[in-house]
Amino acid sequence: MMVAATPLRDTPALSATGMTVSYDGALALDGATLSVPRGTMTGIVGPNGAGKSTLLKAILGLETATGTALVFGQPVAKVMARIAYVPQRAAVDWGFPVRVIDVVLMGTYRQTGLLGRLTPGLRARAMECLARVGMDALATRQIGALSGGQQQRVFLARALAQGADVFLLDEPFAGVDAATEAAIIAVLKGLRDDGATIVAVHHDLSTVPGYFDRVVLLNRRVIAEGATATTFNRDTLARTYGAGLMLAVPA
Amino acid sequence: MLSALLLQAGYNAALVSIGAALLGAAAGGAGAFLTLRRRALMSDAMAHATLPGVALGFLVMVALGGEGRFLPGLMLGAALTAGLGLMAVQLLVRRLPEDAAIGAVLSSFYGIGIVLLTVVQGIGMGRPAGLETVLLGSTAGMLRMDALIIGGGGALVLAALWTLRRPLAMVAFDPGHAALSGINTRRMDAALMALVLAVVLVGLNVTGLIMIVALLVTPAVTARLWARTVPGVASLGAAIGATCGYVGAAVSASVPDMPTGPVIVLLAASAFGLSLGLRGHHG
Repeated sequence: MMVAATPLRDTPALSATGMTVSYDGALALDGATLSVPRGTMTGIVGPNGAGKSTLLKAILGLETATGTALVFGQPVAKVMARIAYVPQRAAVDWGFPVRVIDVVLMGTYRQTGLLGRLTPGLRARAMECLARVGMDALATRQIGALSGGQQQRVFLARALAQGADVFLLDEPFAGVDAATEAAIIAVLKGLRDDGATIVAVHHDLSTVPGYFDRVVLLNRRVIAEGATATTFNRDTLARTYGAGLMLAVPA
Repeated sequence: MLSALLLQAGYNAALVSIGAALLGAAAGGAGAFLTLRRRALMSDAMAHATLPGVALGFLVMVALGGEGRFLPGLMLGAALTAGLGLMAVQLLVRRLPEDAAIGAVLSSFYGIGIVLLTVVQGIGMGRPAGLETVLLGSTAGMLRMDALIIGGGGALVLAALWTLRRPLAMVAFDPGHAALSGINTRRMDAALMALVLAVVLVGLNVTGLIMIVALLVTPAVTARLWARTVPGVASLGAAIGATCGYVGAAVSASVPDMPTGPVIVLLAASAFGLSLGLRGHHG
């Protein structure tokens, strides 16, 4: 799969051009344009209602949008198998009769298809994914019996089981405990170091420099985008959040 | 009654009991996915919407010179109006809450069905006597071919459920993720509704169209109290449904004038009550 110095290698993992979404005439997203290089970890930050989750959903085709979203230079629908999405918590019925391992195995559906068997190999893979997020000991627990942070880790394991190389996460740290946050960030950094591309909607500005090597500042439009060290500063934050915001970030 | 339970009450009675068991298994299995997808009420609308079709099927067959009691003909009519009822619900939910849409469709179609059934019995053509058993079900005097249709239909539904078990479970648990995994969720929902419709049609002669909903829902929610996985709920639901169908048909066959549907449903309700008492705090 490794292609030597050809233009293809420079194709961004993810590029979105002019993504626009409106709800009842109000623009939730106004021509958002961004480009995410391969093997990077990008945080999408912005105030409430800035369209951060909407941007991820528009890219995935879960939201009716105009604009173009490409992954590895191809329309998203064509390369969906290479993309894993971890939604914000609480989108499912927590009383559903399903164990942790069953949820992770759902991530392998593209590999088995309708008639394929869940082979011992796939089960072992699923257990490995659980081990990576530190949840292998709870594999046969009911999903509803877990804490919020543990549930979030299970959904990350389901994404890992997909074998994707682009990961889109919607507020993966919202409402989770410190141990889970540390576990998730370690897994994500490990994925990036193995060449995967991570894009996460993020809320806590104080951890942005420590977590993400790139940042996208969003407020319906993309205000600024680039390496965290050069892009994430008082000026861009003021333009994203409004000048009145007190910020505990480097000038 | 014991002889009926042990399949000793004659070849036909044995065939009917086995057919009812397969129907119960299909209903329990399909009901598991139906309740997990939270579409139980939809099956109620569909079941009630079969009634006009049964009457119309009878009228058409009589007009063509038959007696009007040919089961596949009645089932075809029932399928057509049940499909219409389903479409009506889908049109109405754009403007109404789902429960209101289901209520409106259910009562309208049932009303039309009762009127048509009364007309059928009034015109004195064909052999409509006992046509009202589609309401409450009766296995007494069931033809051998009817029993074969019921058993075969139940077995086909079970085979389809087995094939589709993983995508059905994924759509019920997390439709968004299922769609991103390449599953056509709309088609999967349509397949589930088609399987439930098949159960309703096959059950017309056994439990009747009113009671079939209970056979779809009760074994499934009973199994839900015990099982921890979707395959567990589906197979236990199927086992409970099969037992209720089998015993219910045998009891109904050995007690004169005892309708089959209510007996089956009472058995299922007892299993549910017992399970709720034993396991309710786990749910």
